[in-house]
Amino acid sequence: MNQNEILAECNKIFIDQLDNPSIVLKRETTAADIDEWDSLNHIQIIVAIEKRFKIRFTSSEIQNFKSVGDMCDAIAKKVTA
Amino acid sequence: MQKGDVFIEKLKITDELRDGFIKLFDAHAAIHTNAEYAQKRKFKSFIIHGNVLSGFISHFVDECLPEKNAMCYAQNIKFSKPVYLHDELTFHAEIKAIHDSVNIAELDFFFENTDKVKVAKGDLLIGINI
Repeated sequence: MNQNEILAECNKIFIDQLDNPSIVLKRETTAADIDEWDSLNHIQIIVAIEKRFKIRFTSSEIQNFKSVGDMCDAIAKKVTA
Repeated sequence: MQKGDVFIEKLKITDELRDGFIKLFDAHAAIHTNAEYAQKRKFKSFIIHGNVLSGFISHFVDECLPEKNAMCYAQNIKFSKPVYLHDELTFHAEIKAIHDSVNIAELDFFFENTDKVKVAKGDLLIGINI
């Protein structure tokens, strides 16, 4: 799965979890760019991503996510490992 | 808590529980309040609101888990069989997955009556040590 495919899958997850079909994620997107992306929804997004990609993040990985791109990079490393 | 952990709790549908739910939520549909009406629809008597069971799940999350300060993030529940006043139910829950990075547990659950009939089932997403 390449980076574009990972981003597209994440986009579907965000739309579903945040119930906002207008979301278009970019690598540089952050929580500040999406009103509904609060701390409660963030946890559900992480759980949905872990389930979709059959991976597990560590707490420190999550804390280091500064943007959607960081998250996609972490996913890419795990799904290709 | 870890994957595979099982929790079992008992719940009795008391008059106080049923009456309190109806009063607090102002929910008076005939199927839930009128025995004759319910019997004409093939039920033994009026049936208990399914969301009484949802209320019990809040009790389970708050009071019955070994980890305190838990919170329910998401819940799906299907009410498959009627529950009646004074029924005694057993709640079974099992941890299906743990997401350590965000302190989340996924659980499947069901409620069973004394005839071993599953009256409701579903799944939960619970945050622990919130």
